[in-house]
Amino acid sequence: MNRFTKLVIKHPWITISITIIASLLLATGIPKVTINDNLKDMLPEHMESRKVLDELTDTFGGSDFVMVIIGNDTGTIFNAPTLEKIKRISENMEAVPGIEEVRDITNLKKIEGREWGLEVFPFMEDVPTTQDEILKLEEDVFSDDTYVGSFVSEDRKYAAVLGFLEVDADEQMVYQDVLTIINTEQGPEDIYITGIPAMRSIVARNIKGDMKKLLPFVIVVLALILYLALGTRLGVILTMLVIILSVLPTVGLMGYLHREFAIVTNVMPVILLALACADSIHVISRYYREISLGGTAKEAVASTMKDMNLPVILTSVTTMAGFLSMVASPIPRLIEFGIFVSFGVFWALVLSLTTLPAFLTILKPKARRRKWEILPDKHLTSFGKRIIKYRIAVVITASVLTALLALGIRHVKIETNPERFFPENSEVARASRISNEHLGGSSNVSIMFKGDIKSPQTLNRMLELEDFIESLGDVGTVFSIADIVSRINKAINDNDPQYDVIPKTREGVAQALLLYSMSGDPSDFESFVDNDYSAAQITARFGGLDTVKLSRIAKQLKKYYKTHMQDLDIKSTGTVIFVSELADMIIRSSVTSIISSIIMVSLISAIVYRSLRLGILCVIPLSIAVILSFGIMGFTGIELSMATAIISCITIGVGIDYAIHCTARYRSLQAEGKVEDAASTVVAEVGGPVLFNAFSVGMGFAVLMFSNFVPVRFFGGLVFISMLASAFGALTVLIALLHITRPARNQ
Amino acid sequence: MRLSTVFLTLTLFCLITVSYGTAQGLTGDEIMKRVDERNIPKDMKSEMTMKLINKKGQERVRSVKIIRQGDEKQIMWFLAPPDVRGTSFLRISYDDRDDDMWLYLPAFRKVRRIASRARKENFMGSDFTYENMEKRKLKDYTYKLLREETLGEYQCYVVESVPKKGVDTDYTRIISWVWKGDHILIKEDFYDKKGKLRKTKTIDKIEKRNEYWMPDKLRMENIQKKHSTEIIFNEVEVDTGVEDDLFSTSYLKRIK
Repeated sequence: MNRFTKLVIKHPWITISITIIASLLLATGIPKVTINDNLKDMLPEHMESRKVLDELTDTFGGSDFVMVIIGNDTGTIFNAPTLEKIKRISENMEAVPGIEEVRDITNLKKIEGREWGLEVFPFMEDVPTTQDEILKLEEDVFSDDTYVGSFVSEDRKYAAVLGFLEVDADEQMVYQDVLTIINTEQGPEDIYITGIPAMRSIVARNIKGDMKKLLPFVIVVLALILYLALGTRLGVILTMLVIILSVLPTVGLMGYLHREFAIVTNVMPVILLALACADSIHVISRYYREISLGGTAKEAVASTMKDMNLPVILTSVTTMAGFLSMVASPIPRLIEFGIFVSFGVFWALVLSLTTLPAFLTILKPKARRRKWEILPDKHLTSFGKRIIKYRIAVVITASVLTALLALGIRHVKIETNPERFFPENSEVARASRISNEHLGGSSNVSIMFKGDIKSPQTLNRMLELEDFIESLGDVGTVFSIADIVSRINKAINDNDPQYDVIPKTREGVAQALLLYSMSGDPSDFESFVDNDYSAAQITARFGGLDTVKLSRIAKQLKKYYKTHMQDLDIKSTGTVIFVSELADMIIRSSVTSIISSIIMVSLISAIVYRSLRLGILCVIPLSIAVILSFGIMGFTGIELSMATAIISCITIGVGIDYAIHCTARYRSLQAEGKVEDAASTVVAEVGGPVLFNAFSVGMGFAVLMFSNFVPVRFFGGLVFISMLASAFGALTVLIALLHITRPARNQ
Repeated sequence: MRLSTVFLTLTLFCLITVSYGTAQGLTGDEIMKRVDERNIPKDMKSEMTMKLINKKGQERVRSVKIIRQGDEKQIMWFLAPPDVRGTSFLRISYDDRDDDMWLYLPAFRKVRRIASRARKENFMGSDFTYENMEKRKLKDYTYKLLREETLGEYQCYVVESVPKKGVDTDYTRIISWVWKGDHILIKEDFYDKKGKLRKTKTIDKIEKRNEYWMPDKLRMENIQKKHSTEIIFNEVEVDTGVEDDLFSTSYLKRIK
């Protein structure tokens, strides 16, 4: 390794050229990075629910819709200007490229039985103008429960216009076009846009917004902290160079590998910036100390790197290990996230061992003159002495605290529904609240039902399943071809409610459908049943509830299939299923990554120190920090999504560094024979840098509290806390334990 | 609104007076007048197969036996698919009010009326709306001869029809290809209110029966919904002298 450093010092310009050119070459992939927040794509490709969704889309067309909500809390939509507005919005949406079909009360068809027969007609061909006509329309709409609570709210305050997207539509373009349409129609009614494609576009937009806002922010914050830590502008500039040159190639590599950013994983550049500065801080601080001792810059660099190579490599490797533990996760996005952060950390390591010493060799910075000290040694020394004095109390207090916080872990809630990622007072959240409370909601379950769909037995089983779904509560709408058939049957039989059932024979079903089709559009049933009546779709919409409730619904459905529908070919999919599966995976993912990363870092430390005892002790402070963050989540009800799984990786992968620094120094003091004083000396010597390091990384994460997404905000705050906790834990609990468990033979 | 009979509408585009007059120098108005004045059979019997083709190219086939008298009355009954066999349909058109339509459903042993409220509605769940099939009133449109061109083996006039103000229609513009030989409409493009092409109707095959030129195969394609309907006529007989009392709801139930 020292030979390598010599080479770097000998050829600084070549080193700089190679590393910078390589970084910039990789960075050219940045424009290729896309944003994709499709819930479906968060799940592994082999998942049944993903395959079912593809099959459903293939058979019945896309089921994604943008929902425009018109109305406000005070009025009714049943007045001529509002109805005209609905019709205008509906017609304009028809013209938007990518929208396949628009459904709303102006064009939905009503099936009505008359004393003489059956009538199928749109509710509103022309906008009613007189009060009587408007009353008639209101009556028409409310006489049929199909559309109340989905297209018109029960309280008549809101109406929904649903624009169904073509399968390969450009969601963002559609969203933009619809937004333009509604912007010209605002007032006196409020007009909102929601629905999954809109939500995704808003999320994508916010992800971009987050990056634009948070990246410069974190750079400024880090620069300030670096200035405090290093005391020179040159030090700050060099560190910034290293961290920016680590982030750019990482994002570029994502682009070349056609990877996408999603919520939470979009914080990767911010995380990397925060993580990457640690190495430089150590190298530059050490250089200043060396140069202040006299000698040439070259000599200072050489002796700095001689001492720093190993710790820099070691801390980077443990950080990488923490993130690579995500490879065991079932969620592809998290695997990618782990790999790319590790790559970024690796790149930062390479730059810290090459570019940075090369620059120091060329620029030859002079010794700094610091006038101030943030954490004076004498305070730290007396703090360290107290830790040793009260070591038993420290360990007991920490154990009790940890045990208490551990109680909170079982209350930890996972949130994977993107609708709930927005702050409560945001426009998006308001729109989805109205949609969920009044217009059927946008969380959905789609059930593929295979069999002879014209057979009354099959249709009755479908109705049975629909009844069960209704009984689950919080259901906006449930609908299928079976409902249409029974409605036609009722219409054929003079509107007698007794006949709101499936006809008794297959011929009856076929003829009922034929009667409808005599005046219906040939594509009317395309989204309900396939061409040869061998597969049908039941669609259910739920108010966009939290993941806990949606998971319960998904599980009850699954159970019901087993107990009541075993004989049938049924498959279900939809956001409800995705959200529930993703939540399960995140829990599994967190558990596996915590266990595997603790084992990994513990092993690495044990190998490096050739001591199992030290390996185990090192992971204690960060285990406390992990428990602390989950405990806080549990007790405060903070809901996290993918971030939940990431928190522990960061805490473990980065938190271990502080333990390593403490242990390393403790060991060298031990070797020098200073056993009794060792612990307090460690606190005095290492305490400052460790706390600084934790503070700077933590502040990098704290910037995330300004994210547009609620889970990202909490994530930032929690990592900040757990960084400080693991640093503090290392300086207290670890020191106390090192002292308590010191080997007898060394005494 | 007046809806002409289904039968008429299906055959309208092809039933023509055999007018081999000089075709040179005709205006759009004159061409469409000749289209309008074509002679049609007094009655007709035929088997009709209707293929509904969705955007994936999957087909749904129905076949019916159809009998029609003049352009006012028609009755038909389903031969296939088997689950609707025996279902029969009667339609009577009037000049001054909406058409009457009845469907007999053997599974329910009931005759049910179907309301024809709008010309926008589809005929038998096909891509043809009633408006697509009705004979357009000559005076409702202004015509313009755009050009002459050859379509397949047919030499055609290409005429643009634009509805006059106040005319109830789904379309803002219809382009018709009129076969010079017999003034039959070989092809029509229907443009929607946004000026976009919505549907195209084509006649693939014309046969001469007695003195009437008739289509054997026509097709309507909804360009926007990527759905199309094909209608094929078989075993066509014309002017056989169909009885009047065939066209009643009581006969609907008896027909097999």
